[in-house]
Amino acid sequence: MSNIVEMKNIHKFFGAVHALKGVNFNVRTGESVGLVGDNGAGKSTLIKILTGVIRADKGEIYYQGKKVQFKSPREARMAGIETIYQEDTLAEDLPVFRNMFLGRELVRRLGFINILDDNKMKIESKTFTESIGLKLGSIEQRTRYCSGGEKAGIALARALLFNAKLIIMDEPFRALSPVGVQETVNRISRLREKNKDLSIIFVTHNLYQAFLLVDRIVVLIRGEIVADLPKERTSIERVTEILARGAGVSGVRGEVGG
Amino acid sequence: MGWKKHNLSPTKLLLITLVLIYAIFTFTVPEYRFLSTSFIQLLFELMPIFIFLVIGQSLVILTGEIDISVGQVFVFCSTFLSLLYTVYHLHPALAIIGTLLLGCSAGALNGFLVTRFKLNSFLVTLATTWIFYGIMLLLSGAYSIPYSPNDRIYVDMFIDRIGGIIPTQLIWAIIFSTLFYIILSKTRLGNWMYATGSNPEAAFRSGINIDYVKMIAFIFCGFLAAFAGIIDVSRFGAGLPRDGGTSSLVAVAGAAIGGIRLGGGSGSLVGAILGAIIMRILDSGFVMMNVPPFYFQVILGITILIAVIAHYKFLKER
Repeated sequence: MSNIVEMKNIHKFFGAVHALKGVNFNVRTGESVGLVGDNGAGKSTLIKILTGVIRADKGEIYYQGKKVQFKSPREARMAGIETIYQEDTLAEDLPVFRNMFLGRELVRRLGFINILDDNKMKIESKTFTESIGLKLGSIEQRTRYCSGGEKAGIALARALLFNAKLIIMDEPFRALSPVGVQETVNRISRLREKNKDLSIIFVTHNLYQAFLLVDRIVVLIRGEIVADLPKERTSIERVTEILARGAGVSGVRGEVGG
Repeated sequence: MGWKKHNLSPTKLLLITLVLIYAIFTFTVPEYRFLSTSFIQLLFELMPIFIFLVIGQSLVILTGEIDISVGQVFVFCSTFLSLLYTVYHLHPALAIIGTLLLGCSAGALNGFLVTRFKLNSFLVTLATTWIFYGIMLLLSGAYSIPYSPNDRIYVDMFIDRIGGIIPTQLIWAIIFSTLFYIILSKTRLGNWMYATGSNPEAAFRSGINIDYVKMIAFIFCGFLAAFAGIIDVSRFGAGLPRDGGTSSLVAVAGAAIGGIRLGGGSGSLVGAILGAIIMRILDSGFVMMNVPPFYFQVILGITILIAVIAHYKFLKER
């Protein structure tokens, strides 16, 4: 299995703070990796570097075997890397179908200007959301009036609609109710069964949910990768212990276990 | 939503409000002058300036910003046109183009300061208001400057009456209303404006250049203020270097009454235009009723206050 992403010897400084200390991180094609660590461990920084939000001070990134340096999230997105954040992913005043195509709106030519093709966007949004098992009251309703689980589904559907090869999910469960979490976990599992080449990175605190969905767990502590374990050869207890030891705490900290 | 329960869209509600206000004035203004053709014609002549200012302001507010300077840009531009023509002896066509450029530049300056330095647009445009005001007074010496091009076409194209009935400025208002309606609801740029105002972070993450979107909104706003200024100076026959504060408030209040959410991201241009018309009717109505015009300013203030309260107390759904 080839690597879809390979990050080599990544360093990042914020002023005097050495946020990432030579991180090597890779994801294989079709693999689902949990990137776990405490607050401030560098998870988000690593993801931001990968997706072009910020630049590494040192290090190299390979995407599908080619060396890359994304200058903006837009470039990363165009290359097939979609990031789903825990919040601020959808413009909730817009109707669902406009959110599905936000930033990549379908247009048709009318005279000398491009007019939004709302009909086509509605039809494609409806077909696509239904194909991933997301049943919405109306594709035209304001996104604000959807439930948390539905919003998570819309964000996921949007990523997949544009043939994402790698989906990064940043704390995807934090804003969800227990029902929303269950819906989302089921949906992602089904998607992975259907699309064997889809790679996923879960950035999370929450080991219980991560364990349901990942093949491998990578633990980041204070800017360094301290453990890289296939799921079947580790356990929630073992990872919690690593995290707790990294935090200088004996015993288990509540927030790690979620 | 509340609207759905009563089966009343915001637009219908605004239309009803408009008709009600008009009816009240019809019965309170002596001799039913509110229904006279000459008054209605006057209303249609005066309305476009409000419509231009409100559309411009609405575009900026929709992207999550505000342009307090729009009224001063409007006044500055009307003075500037008379200055270019009468004092600097520019050809009227060039003077008009120069005035439109001034409006766009003023908008671009506001947009630049807000997006480049991530500054609060309320405070930025409050500051630029005084800059525009000061420069206008410096250039004009605070005197009114006559504006009466020999070639009447340059005046008539803005304030003539087509067939002796329909005011030219109304045609312009219809053209620009249609144009901006299409831009806002039927183009990518319009969708990005709503998205930027609704959630800038989400818009940015979706690959939208939110600084560009805001910049364009400010430039449109400046352009429309300049256009309103050209109509203004053409009607008066002179540029009057005055305070534009009331005009700025009209723009904000019209947008707010029209249902443009003050935090951005929500509201329709049709509503905003109806808001501008309501503002116009109130203003003219008070004049016709012979009540001091200051009542209008009190109402402007109260309107904005209600919109602010509604925004911060009731509409914070996020």
